[in-house]
Amino acid sequence: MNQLIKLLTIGALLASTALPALAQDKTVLTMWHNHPEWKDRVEAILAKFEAENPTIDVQLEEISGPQYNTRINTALAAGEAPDLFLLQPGPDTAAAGKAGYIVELTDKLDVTGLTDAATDAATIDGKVWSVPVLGSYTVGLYYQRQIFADAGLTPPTTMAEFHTVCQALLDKGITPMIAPAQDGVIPAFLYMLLSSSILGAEGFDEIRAGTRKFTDPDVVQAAVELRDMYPCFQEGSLGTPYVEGKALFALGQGAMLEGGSADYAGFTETNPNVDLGVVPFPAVAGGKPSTVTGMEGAYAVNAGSEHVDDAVKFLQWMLSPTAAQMVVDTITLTTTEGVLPADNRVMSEMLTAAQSRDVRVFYEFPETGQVMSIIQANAASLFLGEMSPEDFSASLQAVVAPSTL
Amino acid sequence: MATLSPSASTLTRPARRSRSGSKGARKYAHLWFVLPGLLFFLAFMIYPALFALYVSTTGWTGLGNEFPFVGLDNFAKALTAPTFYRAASNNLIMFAVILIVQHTIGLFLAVQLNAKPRFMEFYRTVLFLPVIFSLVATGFIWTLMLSPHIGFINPVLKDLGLGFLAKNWLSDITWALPTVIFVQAWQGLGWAVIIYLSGLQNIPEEMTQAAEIDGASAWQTFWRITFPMLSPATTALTILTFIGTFRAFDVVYVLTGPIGSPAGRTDILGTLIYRTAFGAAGQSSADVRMSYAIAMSLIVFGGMAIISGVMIKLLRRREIEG
Amino acid sequence: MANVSLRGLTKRYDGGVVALNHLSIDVADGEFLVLVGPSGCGKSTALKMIAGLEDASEGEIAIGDEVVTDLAARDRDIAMIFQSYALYPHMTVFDNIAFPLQIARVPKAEIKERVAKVAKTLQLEPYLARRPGKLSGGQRQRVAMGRAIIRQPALFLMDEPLSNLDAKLRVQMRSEIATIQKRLNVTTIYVTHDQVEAMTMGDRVALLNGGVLQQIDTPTNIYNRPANTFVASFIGSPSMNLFRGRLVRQGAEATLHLGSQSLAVPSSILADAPDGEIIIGIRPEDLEDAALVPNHPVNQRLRSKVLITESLGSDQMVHFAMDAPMAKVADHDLLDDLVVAEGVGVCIGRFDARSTARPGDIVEVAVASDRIHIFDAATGLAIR
Ligand SMILES: Nc1ncnc2c1ncn2[C@@H]1O[C@H](COP(=O)(O)OP(=O)(O)OP(=O)(O)O)[C@@H](O)[C@H]1O
Ligand SMILES: [Mg+2]
Repeated sequence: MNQLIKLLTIGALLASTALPALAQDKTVLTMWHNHPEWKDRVEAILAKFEAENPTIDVQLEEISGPQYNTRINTALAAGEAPDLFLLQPGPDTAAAGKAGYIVELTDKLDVTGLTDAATDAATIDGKVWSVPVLGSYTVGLYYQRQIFADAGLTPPTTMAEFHTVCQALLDKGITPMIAPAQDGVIPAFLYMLLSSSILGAEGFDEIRAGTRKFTDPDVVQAAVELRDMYPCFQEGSLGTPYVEGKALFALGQGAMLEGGSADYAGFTETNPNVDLGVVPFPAVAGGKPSTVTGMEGAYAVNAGSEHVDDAVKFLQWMLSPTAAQMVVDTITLTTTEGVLPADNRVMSEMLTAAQSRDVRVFYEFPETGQVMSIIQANAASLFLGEMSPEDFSASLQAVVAPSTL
Repeated sequence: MATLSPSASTLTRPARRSRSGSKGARKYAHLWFVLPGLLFFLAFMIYPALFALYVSTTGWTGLGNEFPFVGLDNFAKALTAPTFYRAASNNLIMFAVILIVQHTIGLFLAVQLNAKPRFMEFYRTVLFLPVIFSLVATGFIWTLMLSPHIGFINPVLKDLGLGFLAKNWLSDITWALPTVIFVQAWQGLGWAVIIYLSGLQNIPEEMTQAAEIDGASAWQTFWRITFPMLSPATTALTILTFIGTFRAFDVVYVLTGPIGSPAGRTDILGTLIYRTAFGAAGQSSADVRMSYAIAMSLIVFGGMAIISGVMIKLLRRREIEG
Repeated sequence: MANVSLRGLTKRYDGGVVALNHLSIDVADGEFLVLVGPSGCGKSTALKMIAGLEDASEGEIAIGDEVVTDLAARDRDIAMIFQSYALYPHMTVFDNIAFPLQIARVPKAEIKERVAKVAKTLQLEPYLARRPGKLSGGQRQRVAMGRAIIRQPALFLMDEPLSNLDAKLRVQMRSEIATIQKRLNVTTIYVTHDQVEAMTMGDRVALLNGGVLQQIDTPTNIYNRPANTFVASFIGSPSMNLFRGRLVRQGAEATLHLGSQSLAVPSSILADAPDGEIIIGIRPEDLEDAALVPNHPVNQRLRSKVLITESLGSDQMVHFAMDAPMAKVADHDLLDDLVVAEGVGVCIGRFDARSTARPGDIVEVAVASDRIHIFDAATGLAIR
């Protein structure tokens, strides 16, 4: 017994002298994000940062998508959040800023290198609370190049063409489109794409301002088109979970998929031989082929962190061309202006696609934050004819909270 | 132990009396023993419950730390929301179906097992296995099996010449709820079997032998003797099934997702409350309304407490007293 | 009303336990047969086989003139009272008693009438609406009785129906059951391991050991003429004293040598017993303090040291030492394994209360020599 106490005492003494020594030569920054599937790629970027900044050790914890928001919101409320963490831009970030959970970065961080969309996402009422440093995603239409070539088809640019393509593929016994609609997220993106085709960025700003409405007859057309796409989806689409849909597409079980730049890495992981192309989503009559863009989260600094300066230093480095190039080449589109994919054809195609008509995703704005969940809830009823396009559009408009700008 | 002997306790009693003064101190002395447990209970049960009650009267979204007082708005909103009633009625259907399954198939299987067939241990294990599976794993396995793309259930049906029975199990508006209920019932059937089996094993053999000698057929013996004597098991199972189905979540969430696909046909209180509290999409928590979700779960909790209380009272009446 | 005939009834359980070994008994119509024996001897097994709750491995059962071996229990027209009573806990006393009639679809009015009659006989009227859980042990026993007699079956089977009652109630119920049985005149097989019940209730007693029938006879004969040392030691309390000794005949004179002592016995009781090693059995009541019977022949006495005395009020049990080896029959033993205790044997005598024998005293014990039992030293079978 006495021996044990002695040992423990000595151990404790040693530890108390040794630990500060260790701590002194490295600052540990803890960081959370929501893409476990990017682990290796992100670790590679972090390794690069650590190599350039030997005194900082960034420790990353990945929490899988569906649980992430719950985890971080709980951790924030409990004061147990890490030094750095992903927050959804828009309402989530605004609430965290207001609650004093996160550090205001306006004067601490130089964000001039960000793309317009990213700058916009980073800023709330003129203040910077978080920065999207791990890229953004742009959503367009993926297609299987081989299937299209074999069938002698070209990717559709309008919904009319889409339906021609759809019918041609159906006739060949090929599933035209994979749409994992179980949780309603994919239908929500489809609607955003279709309405963006009509609205454009300005039209969407008008929706936010309340001067245009989802119930405007020309915008209702987006709901009509959404409904009419349903027969082109794979069997049992309303019960297909997102992961299964992605896998089916990667394995060539369908010709088209609405998908984002960040999905591509996953497709190649499932099937290294996948041969995809990307185009903007087909235009609704009178509109333009469109894409929507959202941030892969934005990163905020914990107000309770003991290493705010190091955390800011890390974020600043992440905005540098070095980091941005790694992001765009290995993960998804970058948020840093002017950095182009060096050897990633699909990312390049996605950038090209985004030049047609790109609109920010609705949920990143307080005015339209609720719209996504209503689309999720009602899309199936629209597909099944239980809800008319008019009623569907009205249900969306009902949750728009126009800003009083 | 020596201290337990009568002489020892008669020795200590007067000593304690003289030491601890007043009568009240003696009367409440036991509280010191209850206190740690009580504090634990208060900390982990009462406090969160009271906090939930408080939050339900605010507009707290779950993000940030603003708690604007809204009175009973959340409760009023829940009680007038069609989705709430749709979810509750799905729970009710689930309860009714599973109850019937447990009290028929479950009881039947228990009776078979009670006859101690060969390989009884094996059957019992197989039947009970789903119960100890993680709910998420159960849901996941069935998702895979039922999938029209990668599942084997439809192909097997087709191979058996039963192709007309193949369905888009989880996306068909008619079949999704029955399918979800089936999986939930499959998962819980082991409970019914085990509870009924232990009930059966508690019935002395002589009881049924007496009935047999008194002229009763096997059927009469079962209905007049065995089944009534199983009433404690029936009560327990009914209550457990009620509670189980009204707090079902995991299996359904994994099978048909956060929004009760398709078109809310499989939306139950669990999924409704979950997505209200935590959101239905990973991309955004803009639709998170924590205080509203808490109000809904309090309504559900209250309703369940009242209904199970009434059920226990009714079911106990037919049980044997003494 | 029927006679019962068991022929070569045998039960072998899985695992090789032979619970009952070729039991053959004929029970007359209206007879009260007591089946007695130590625990595990196969009494319940025999009863369950007669009832049809266990299949016979071998043998035949006939009730009346019908062979029922292959009939289901409910077709045998039997009523049975279980040791646990097996009352239906969820039914009232009324329903418990009425159950056999309800099953037989007897009209309601008749059921009511018959239950009322039975309840009256058994003094159960106040309890008809109660459930068994709220009755005393004796009342439960009566309900079980009621359920059995309401049907007027061909045969009553009772498996230790009184063993859960306290001593006083047991005495009372004993006579009640006997009275009812005599009145109804239904053939009855009654299982017990209580020898007082066996002696007082039965017309005949069948004694089983290890699944084998040892003796079947009237209680008096079983007591007075035990067929072997097992029966001798099982029936009677305290047990018969059994010692190994030697028989020596000299003309008309016969002497039993018990250790260092000897005892003159009349040759009438010796029958054709051979000279030499035998087992001698003396019941405690056949021993008396010689001081109280001064006229007792001197050569029919033993001298011994008193070890313990137990006063029962009316008389006292006096344990005294014997230097002859005891022949003990353990409950579970088969006849072949007679255990011989080494060293000092203990003999018990039932002395009159007036005896002044005290531990340590040397007493003269008067032996009723004409009532001594003699058994074969090897087989334990009675020699008479
Ligand atoms: N189901 C069974 N399987 C195997 N052996 C059994 C079974 N039932 C009884 N036995 C054995 O058969 C023998 C006779 O049992 P039985 O119950 O007939 O004894 P009993 O004379 O009624 O005893 P008790 O006076 O203790 O009730 C015992 O050795 C018992 O262990
Ligand atoms: Mg027995």
